[in-house]
Amino acid sequence: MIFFGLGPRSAIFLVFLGAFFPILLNTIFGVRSVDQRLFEAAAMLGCDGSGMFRQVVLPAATPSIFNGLRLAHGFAWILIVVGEMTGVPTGLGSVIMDGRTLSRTDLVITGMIVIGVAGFITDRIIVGISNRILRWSPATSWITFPATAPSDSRRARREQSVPDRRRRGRSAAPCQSGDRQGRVRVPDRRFRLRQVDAAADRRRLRAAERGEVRVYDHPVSGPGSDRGMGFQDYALFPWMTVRENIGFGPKQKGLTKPEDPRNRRRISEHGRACQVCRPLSASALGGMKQRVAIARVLANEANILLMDEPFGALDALTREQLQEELLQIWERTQVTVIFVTHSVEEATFLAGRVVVMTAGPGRIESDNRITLARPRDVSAPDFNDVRRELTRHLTSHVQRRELRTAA
Amino acid sequence: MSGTRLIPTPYQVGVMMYDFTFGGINDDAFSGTIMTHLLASMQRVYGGFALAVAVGIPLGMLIGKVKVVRQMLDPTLSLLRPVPVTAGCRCR
Repeated sequence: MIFFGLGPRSAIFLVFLGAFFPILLNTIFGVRSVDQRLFEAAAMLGCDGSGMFRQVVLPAATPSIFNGLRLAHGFAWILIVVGEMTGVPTGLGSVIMDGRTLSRTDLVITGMIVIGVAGFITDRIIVGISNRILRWSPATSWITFPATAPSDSRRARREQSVPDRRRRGRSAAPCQSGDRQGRVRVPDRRFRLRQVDAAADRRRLRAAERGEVRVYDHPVSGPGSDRGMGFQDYALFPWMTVRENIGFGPKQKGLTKPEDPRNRRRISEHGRACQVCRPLSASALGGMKQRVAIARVLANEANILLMDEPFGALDALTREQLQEELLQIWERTQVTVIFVTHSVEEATFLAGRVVVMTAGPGRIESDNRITLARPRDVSAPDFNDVRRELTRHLTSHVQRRELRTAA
Repeated sequence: MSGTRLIPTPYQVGVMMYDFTFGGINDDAFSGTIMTHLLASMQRVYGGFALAVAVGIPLGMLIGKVKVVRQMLDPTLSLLRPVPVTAGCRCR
């Protein structure tokens, strides 16, 4: 060693340097590549500051960190040979070096084999640990898939193959239904407009210079625990079990135990969860995940449930089923739901009020109350009338615009 | 039977392996010394590795999360990273 002198200490330092950068870079990468939606979901459930770091950043970065550890471990063994070549009387590196000096290639190869075996065993240990910790990760899920797969895993795979279509910029038909003892109102046009925009494109909300979102007369600047959000891609925490996901909001409020009786009730009410204690992993059904996401919001006792095309990625049957379940939940809890959808039928089926939005600029095209009796029958003539009327609203401005461009 | 041939036969390696582990064949400086060398190397490898973990993971998280730290350290680290660590080594 020129810089660090000779001897065992410099060998350790060399190993340190070699292992340091893979670990550092992978940790940085892991921390910086955490899905933004998970932050939003956690903030929506009342998590912030150090809690956010501990409960969201750290687990989400773990796969990348382990990747760095494995790389670094490999480098460490390479560099020990280099480090032990000079001025160190013991160590496998010095054995190899002596073998080379004495032209005893059998000794060199023996040293290489010993290093290989030792390195392999340690690598397996690291992999074993990471597989235990990272059961949820797609990178390791092939190992645990049979253990966590639901009985109808074929359907799971089919649902997963449904691409996450995010259709933006098209007009949305949001609906607001329910009123909590008359206290929750969607008070003015502006609110609705921005709120709908927020659901359609949260980034635009942040950039919005004009317009303001007010909830209970308090201006809103970001996610908060009084408003629950249902994401189209669920934004569940994949490293948590179903139970932990649902208990996340209450936990932020200091109801620490997921076994809290209140949570348990919530879980049994909303979760219908057959695998409550297992990590969600990649194998859970889409409909199942959305149920958990809704239960997670409700367990947090939010007054308002914002849903951004929550059922968009589900197959038709699951979608209908979840619509029914959402209505049941709404009837039971009287939570206010603001729901963004592109399906006129869905809006007509669910809503007490439908606000039709135009595409860019996002303006309110019309505001319709729907007075059809519940439960609604999608094949009834009056249902169809409402649907046709809404469709007309939805397409009218599109036609106008096309005419304008034509002219 | 250790000659000066470039590549030893698997048999020779096997014999050497045995001698290195248990001794009693060549009875030279390397006979039966596997544990001494292996433990010495493992101490250094995992000492250095543990140091790297202890420094690298917290520092990586700081750099990842805190913008000021990132701006302060990232240029230096980016410069140091491509430098091969073995360049500081005097090899025969």
